Amino acid sequence: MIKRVLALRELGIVAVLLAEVALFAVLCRQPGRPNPFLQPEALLNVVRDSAVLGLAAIGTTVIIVAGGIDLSVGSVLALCAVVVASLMEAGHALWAVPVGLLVGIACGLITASIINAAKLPPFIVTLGMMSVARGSAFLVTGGRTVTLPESTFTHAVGGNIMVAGVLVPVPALIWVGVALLAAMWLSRSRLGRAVTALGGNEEAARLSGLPIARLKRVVYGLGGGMAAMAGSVFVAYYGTGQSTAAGGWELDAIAAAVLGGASLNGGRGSIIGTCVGAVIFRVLQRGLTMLGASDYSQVITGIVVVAVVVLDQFATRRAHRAG
Amino acid sequence: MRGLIVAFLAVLMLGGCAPKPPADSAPPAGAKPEPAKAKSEAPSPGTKLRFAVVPKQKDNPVFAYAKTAAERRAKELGVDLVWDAPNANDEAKQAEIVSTLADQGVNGIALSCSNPATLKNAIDKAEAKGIPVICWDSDAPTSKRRAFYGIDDQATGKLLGEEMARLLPSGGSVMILSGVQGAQNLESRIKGVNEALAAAKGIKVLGVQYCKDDVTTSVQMIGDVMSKHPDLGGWVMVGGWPLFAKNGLDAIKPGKTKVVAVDPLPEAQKWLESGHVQVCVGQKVFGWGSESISILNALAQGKPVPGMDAKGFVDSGVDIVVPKKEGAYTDAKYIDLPTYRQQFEAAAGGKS
Repeated sequence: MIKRVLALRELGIVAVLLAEVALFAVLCRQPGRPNPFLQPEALLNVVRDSAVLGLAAIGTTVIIVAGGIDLSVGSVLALCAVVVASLMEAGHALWAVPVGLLVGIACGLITASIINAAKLPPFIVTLGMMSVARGSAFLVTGGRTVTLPESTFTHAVGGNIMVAGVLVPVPALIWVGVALLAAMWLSRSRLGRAVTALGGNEEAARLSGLPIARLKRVVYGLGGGMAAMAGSVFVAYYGTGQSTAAGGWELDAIAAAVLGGASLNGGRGSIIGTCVGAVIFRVLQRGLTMLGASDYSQVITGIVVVAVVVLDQFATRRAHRAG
Repeated sequence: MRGLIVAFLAVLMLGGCAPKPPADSAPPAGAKPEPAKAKSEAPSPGTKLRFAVVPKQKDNPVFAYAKTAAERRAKELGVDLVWDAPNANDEAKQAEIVSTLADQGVNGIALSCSNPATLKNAIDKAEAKGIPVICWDSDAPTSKRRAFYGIDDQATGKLLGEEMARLLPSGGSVMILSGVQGAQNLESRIKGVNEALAAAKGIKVLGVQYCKDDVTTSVQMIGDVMSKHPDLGGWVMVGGWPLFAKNGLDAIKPGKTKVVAVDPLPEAQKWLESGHVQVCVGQKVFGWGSESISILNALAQGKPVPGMDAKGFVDSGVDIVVPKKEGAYTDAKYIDLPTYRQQFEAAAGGKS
């Protein structure tokens, strides 16, 4: 099972993560003290801190695999987070998360409908949605930070539970569970394979009878839904909903997907690889913070994304020449 | 019909991305330059004055308190209030807004300046039209603004450092948390913190962590630093970012690692109650709105501004909030949390 899920490329990215942890463990070690990078609690916290971005990046990966791109993920996340937080604050706890999810899915469906009908590049349409969603998030709160008191929701979704004697953060469990389901769906289901085929060659997919417009609605709807789920977990974990939340996360989500093996040309990508990619960026941020060099993280993220895309292009051209 | 709806949505979305001409852009070829008008220096008798207040951004909760107070003072003085700002922090958009307001002929503009260099031109042009401009919260000292209502950031930073030094009589290591690197007010506060801590015995400043004004990042940074430095003596937070998150200071053991922070807003007060934060310095967030309107009103009517020095600085002062007035905190300069909360709620509700 594990072998099926983890392809060779994914093992490579896991090796990169392990090397990164080892490097920072050496750089951040302190004589006479437990290594801050190798404590089980610290490692669990890294996974927990990666969960919100990781959930959003799952949707981004599916969109990239389908040959699209989504620049609105951070804004849709913020919109759904403020919707969930505002409804919770108003006492509609039961409806908050379902309505938040519907808002996210609606954003994705609107994006896909415009891409399909107007034949516009996803880059332009999702850029527009980025602006619409961020502005709507502001309109929902009027610029106010919605702060929630402790509740069943914040405890159940944002807290910890005991698993085999270890206190495990629930956001991390949700993320891992959703990632495994999404990975199996993308690689093993008929619809998942159709999505991959669409990204590999849209014209060929069309000629083979695949419902292109419907597939795009599925992937962008899923992307919006995942951003909404990430927004809900954000509210539960941080206890706040703010229209400025997740600013710039679109690049982080794309970076995690690309680092995890997704090709910006479409047709290739791995949910598990994306999740490992999200953890790699979180470990990088953590390591640089501990070394007092956190300001370099954005620069390094940008360099890594460009380097991985360049390497991917080289590999693709080489494969074409060889094939 | 479906196509029509989709086309409408596309236009709606793309409309948001369409580039807007800058407010300061040159007039079209052949157009005559508009002469500078002294609209606000001498408002005609009986004309209702109209003042504009421009925060850095609308989506920062502290500015909502300033707006409440500005609306109340405007009503008291019988003047009209225009409240406008970019949704998110955007210095170019703020400059456009100031220019537009000046073109509309408001009788005075009060702004919290996002970036002094970027806003200088817009402020100076408004002043050239005879519209008094003042700054609050964040100054534009190189511009022709008439006054600045706020705190001396370096002095406030020094105060934060002195409070930390008092909490660590035997010395220890201290980390500073800031927002965006290069922000003038934050850098001045950091300078003050370093100045005070350098004068204290046995205190070593480990560095400054910049969270880019992002609550999530600030929470993660605190966790990361506490993992590396579990024996950290204290945090000096020159802004209140992590205090807004439910789990913002969970990585800090109350009492073991001391925290001196800024902005004891209602969302942040639980950290004073829980013992995570020992001292929290509050800016006059209501005064930003109410005093700005009062200063503009005085300037528009050619009256002197109370408390203004030769450089145009009007010191707002700060509230030094502690959980309880006991032990080392019995001095009159400290205010305990219950009293501060009472005063804050009264100001927010318009009772005072």
